[in-house]
Amino acid sequence: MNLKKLFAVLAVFALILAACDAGGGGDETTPTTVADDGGTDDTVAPDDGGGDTGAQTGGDLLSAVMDRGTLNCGVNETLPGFGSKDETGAFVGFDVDLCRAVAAAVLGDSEAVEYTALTAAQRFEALSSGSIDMLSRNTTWTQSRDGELGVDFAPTTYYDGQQVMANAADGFDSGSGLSDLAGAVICTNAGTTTEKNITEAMQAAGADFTLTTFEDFNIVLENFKSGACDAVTTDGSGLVSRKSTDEPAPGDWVIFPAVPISKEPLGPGVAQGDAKWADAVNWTMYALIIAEELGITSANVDDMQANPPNGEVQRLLGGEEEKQTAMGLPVDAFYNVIKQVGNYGEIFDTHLTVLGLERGLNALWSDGGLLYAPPAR
Amino acid sequence: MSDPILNEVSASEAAPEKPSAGAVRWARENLFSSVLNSILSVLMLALIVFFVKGLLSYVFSDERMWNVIPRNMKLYWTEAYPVAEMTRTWVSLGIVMALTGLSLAVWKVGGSTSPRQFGRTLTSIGIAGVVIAILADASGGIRVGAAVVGAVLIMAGQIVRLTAGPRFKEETIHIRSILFGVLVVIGVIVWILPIESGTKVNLTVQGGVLVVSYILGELIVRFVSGGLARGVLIGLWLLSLPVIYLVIQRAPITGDVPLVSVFLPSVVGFIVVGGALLWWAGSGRAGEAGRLAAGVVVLAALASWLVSMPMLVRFLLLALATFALAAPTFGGTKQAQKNFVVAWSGAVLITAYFMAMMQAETGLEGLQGEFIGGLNLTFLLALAGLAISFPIGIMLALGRTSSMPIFRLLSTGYIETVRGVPLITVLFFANLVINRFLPREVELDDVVKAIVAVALFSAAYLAENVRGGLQSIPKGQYEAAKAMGLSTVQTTVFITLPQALRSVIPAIVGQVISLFKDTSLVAIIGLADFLRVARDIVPNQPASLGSLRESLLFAMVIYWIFTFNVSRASLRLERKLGVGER
Amino acid sequence: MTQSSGPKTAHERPPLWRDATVLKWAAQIAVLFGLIFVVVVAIRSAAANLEAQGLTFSWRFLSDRPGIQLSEGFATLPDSGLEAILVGIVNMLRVTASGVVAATILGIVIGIARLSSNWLVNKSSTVYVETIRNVPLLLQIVFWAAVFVSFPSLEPEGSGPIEGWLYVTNKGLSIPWFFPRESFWQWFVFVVAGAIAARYAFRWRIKVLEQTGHDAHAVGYALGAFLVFAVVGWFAHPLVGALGWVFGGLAWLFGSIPVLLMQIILAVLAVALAIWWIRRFLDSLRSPAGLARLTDDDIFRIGLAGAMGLVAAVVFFLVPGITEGINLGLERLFEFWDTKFNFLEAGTVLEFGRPTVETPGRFAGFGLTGMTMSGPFFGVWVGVTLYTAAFIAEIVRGGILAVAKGQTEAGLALGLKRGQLLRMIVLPQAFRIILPPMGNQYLNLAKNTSLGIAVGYAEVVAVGQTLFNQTGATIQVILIWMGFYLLVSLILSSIVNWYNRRVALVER
Repeated sequence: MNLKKLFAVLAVFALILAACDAGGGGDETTPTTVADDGGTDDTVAPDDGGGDTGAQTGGDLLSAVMDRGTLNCGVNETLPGFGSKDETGAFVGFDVDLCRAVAAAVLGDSEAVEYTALTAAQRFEALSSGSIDMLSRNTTWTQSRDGELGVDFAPTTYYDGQQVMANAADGFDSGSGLSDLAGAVICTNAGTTTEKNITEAMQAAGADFTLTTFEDFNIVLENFKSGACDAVTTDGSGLVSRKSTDEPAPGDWVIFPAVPISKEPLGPGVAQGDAKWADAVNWTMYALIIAEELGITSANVDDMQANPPNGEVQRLLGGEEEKQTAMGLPVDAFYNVIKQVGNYGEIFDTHLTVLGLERGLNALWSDGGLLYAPPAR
Repeated sequence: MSDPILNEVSASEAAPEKPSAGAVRWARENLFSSVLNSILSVLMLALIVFFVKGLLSYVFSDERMWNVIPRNMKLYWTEAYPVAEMTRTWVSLGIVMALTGLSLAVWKVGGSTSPRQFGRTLTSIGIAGVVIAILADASGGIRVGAAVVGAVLIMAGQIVRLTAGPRFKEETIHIRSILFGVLVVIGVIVWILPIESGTKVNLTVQGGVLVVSYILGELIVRFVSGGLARGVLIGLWLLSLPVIYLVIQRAPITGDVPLVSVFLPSVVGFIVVGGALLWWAGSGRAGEAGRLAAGVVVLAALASWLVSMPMLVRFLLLALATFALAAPTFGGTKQAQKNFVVAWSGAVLITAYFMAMMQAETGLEGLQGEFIGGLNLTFLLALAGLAISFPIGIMLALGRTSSMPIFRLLSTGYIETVRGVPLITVLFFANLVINRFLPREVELDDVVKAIVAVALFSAAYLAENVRGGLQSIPKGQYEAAKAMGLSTVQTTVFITLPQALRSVIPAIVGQVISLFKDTSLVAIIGLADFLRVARDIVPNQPASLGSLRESLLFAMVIYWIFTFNVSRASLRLERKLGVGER
Repeated sequence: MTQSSGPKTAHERPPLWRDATVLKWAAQIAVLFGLIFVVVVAIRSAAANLEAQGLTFSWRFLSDRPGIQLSEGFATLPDSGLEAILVGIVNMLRVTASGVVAATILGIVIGIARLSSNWLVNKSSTVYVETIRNVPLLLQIVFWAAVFVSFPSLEPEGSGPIEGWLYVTNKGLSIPWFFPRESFWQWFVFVVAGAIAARYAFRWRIKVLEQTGHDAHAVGYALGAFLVFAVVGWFAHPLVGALGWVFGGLAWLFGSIPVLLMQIILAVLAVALAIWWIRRFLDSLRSPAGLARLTDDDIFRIGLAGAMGLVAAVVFFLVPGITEGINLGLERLFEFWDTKFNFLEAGTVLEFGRPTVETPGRFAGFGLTGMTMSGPFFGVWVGVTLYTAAFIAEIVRGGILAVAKGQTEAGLALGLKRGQLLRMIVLPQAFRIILPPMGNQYLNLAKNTSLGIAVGYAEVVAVGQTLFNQTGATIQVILIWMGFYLLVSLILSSIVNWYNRRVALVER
């Protein structure tokens, strides 16, 4: 019996050795890591023509989606506020509403969406293989994802940043810095960028710490509340929302540093190489912002369409000189979006304000935030 | 003539000692028989009280968000199944209830119990209720309620014992009546609790289905032979799995399926032509030509995969090849041939039906084919995994004990490799990697990948169990079969396998329980099964934040209920089969 | 059962297409080719898919710096992917070893408790076994991690329960411990010598006992011998430091030996090993009547052994990197031992460390002087220990029940008390029955530690997942996992089989 086990072990190792050579001559110069080592040209060469599902091939995903009649959207099911499930099992959340907006724009029906819940490990594979048309899963826009992993990002819909939360009783306030965390046990949920960012930042600050990763932020918070973790770190939005619901007494928990450890611009993504589809998704996001700038809400959109106060409103809602049909979208695309889903502010209010998140960086540029859409003309 | 010695003896025997009051004597014997025992008893009692008090205070504390669980019951049971189509899940449950009722009747499960036993059970439940009332740190209402219920049960138990009179040790109470009683009590509780009225009605209907089918089963058993009834019931159970998951819950729309143009002629053609072929091949006179014909069909079946033709035809050809190869084994007499052809027709119809259902698009909207979740998914993974791993496991076991070295090598290599790695790595492999090994056009559903992973994993363990059974068969059986002129296949199918399987049923049931528990691992790869709903999805709802531990406790209880009952059933089966007795 | 086919004369042999042997081999070869075909298609598909996505299959992630921090291990900031995986492996082995020990002890206790005559003890252990066996292990591990979190928090002063000696907090459990220091290995040589001496002493006294019938205190003598060596070693260990020269010499040897020479040596060793194995195998088949007829299974095994030897020899020649690696590894190993053995230098052997609470910054943490167990480790360890102990309890119970009833009755008739009966009569016999299933449970325990990923324990599966999330090297990491677990299961089952053979009943 042992001989056979030995054979099995050898077989596996033989397979490993064989597979070493099976990868087409082992091109060592194209790294597969998302780590920053220079190397040669890291971009993925788009395959022109001959695509199966239109992903990465310059094919026409917009017409495919319109023919199909439903939008395939990848979302999160375990992030409260952005992507979660209600009691009936339906998906709700900020990112989910972005999917609904695109469906309303392209198909005229915000409920014509087929959702797929994805884990962090599965999301890019799903997008590049074409099983989803659009990824709306609190994904950070980074250079490596744009380049190596074959994702094209839509405009950022939520400007976030990684921060740390600790107890005020330990002497922290909003002005504290990372070096104050020396010797701490910092807990986070397993993600691709979170662990890396905190490690690098603490190394830069010259502070030693112990990092414990859990699969779910709920468990992280349980540990934090009982004192097993001295501090927790994740995107600021997660920290603020959980602080508002779980804090024992107001002021017990402190979020710092004021300038986040890392920039986390979150937004939807599509597969690389389909400019028309990317345009459709991008401009749906812009439409949400423009609608809020112009004061169009789901309540008054009918009035606005009937009596547009200015040219931009008229064009946005499908009146004269509209630009939607030239993009391949239905003429009332954005009217449907605002009517069925709402403008940016409404979506934010429904899902995020209830969790205690403030607009902050996500306010309109005219209010001091970063949301600035190109004009609809 | 009276013998003085005998008289003396019988006189001293006439008046037996009255034993001291039962409880005190029992305590003395069992708990305090020696110094060591007494110390142990006291320590254990202290430990148990500490533990139970801690558990109860945790459960009944005010901070617990227990309302999260009833609110999300749909998520726990079926996760994201479209609300509009929930009737389908109720119908599936109804089918299971009906089959359960019939099985209970046909297999005469349970027997009866004695009033003393029954009374004792009632009394112990009552005592448990009173203990909860005393130890729990709960609100007054709950404590009083528990105490009252406990007291009532204790009294009921004692009444049962006392009123049964001198025959209180005989088994006069049927389990049946107890079951009915329990169902009635559950029904009453369901109607009292604040549950949605639609659900109440549905639950009552389920209970009614169970009862009615049980009564029906009893009637049927009176008119039909036990063996036939059992066989048909087993067939129904096997069919129920694909029917529930492929047809009822998936709501296929058959509009697109070429029923008339492709399916109907294929079915008819295969039944007629195939039936004739099999009749001839199994007649015992076909001899060499029969084997040759079977070989031709096998080649045709393999070749059909290289040419473009409807999937149905390919699968039917494969089935025909299998039946043709098996014809000499199962044929012989006219009766056997007839049964064989009837089985073939049945196989064709069933295959065509399920292929039609699989090719049809699902009529459910909203999710990318992943509408089975929660406990529904756990059952699907466990049962489908089991169903698929069974034939594979048996084949692997036969391969491992075969005399042909290459089969032996391949089987052993597979079994040892799969048994040496943890299930989580196999799941990661299936979920993340297997897509890369398949051609681009083939895309497997996440659930299908998980089922395949679980099935392949469990097949290796099943193979080892079956191998144990195969090796325990005395050599005389093989020799007798050879002496009778049975071929290897016939020996295996008719002599060896039945004995082997029967002797390892306990081990197989143990494997079933392991499989059911192991399905919880798919939560790590993101499939929305029961554990993932309890651990990740429900506690992450904005309205349920902070309810992680309650959700996990609920999950533990549900898992325990199912697994415990299966293991109890297997113990009863073991006892019935006399496994392990000399 | 193998069908013995006698010599076939020409007119007896059936036609080719009916010959059972031919058909069997045709079927086997057909299946083999089919399998190879499927494997080749799969690998081609994988290569094509990888190319289409612009990814490559490389092992570079093993040498690149992963940029992650692990929660525990001998190197929490690993320099390379390979080091990260090694940390994961060491963590897994830590929890496996401690789990095996704890589960065995607990399992035996509970198994015996299930047969106790004390009603409370009996029923409690039954409840324990029934509850633990019927709840998925993943849930149990998560539960214990949650229990850990509910321990009191660690304060700079006044944490308990016994300050300075025992800490039970939700940042870790800390106990005092004896830590090996520089001269530990020198002393260990004496300990090993003491163990061997104890074994011989035991055997000698048992012989005396059997010859004279008087109580010969075998255990006492064995323990005495062991203690003598240990105590002498405590003071005399610098003398053994002379071994350091040997190790230094070996290190120099492996450092300066030419690679070609080493390759030749290794190849010769591989072939010699194969030949030795084949000869031993043939000897085992030899009976006084001569060499038994070789079945095709035996021929296959011989062929396989020979082939492996040849392949190993060829590989050693073809891939000099392996030999270089072996040389380097051995050189480093002996250098390491050299530093541990210093002639006539008396360093500390064991250092007793008590747990301390330090506050380097604002947070209280445990110092390095005690033995600290982290939360994730606690969850995994307690979870798998209790789970495996439940199964071991059932095995022990079954083993004890399987010992013939007559033995118990005879023992009781001889006037033995229940404890003596258990210890001297029943358990030794039950041991033989218990052993193989216990080995199986140890294997399951080793595999179950892979669930540590759910509670944040940095064992090999968790580290691997972090690695492939960062680098995309999914297939490679999965292959590493499978290879590692296969190796562990091979080693464990070899140990159990070896022990099994030693205690097996020699049937007449």
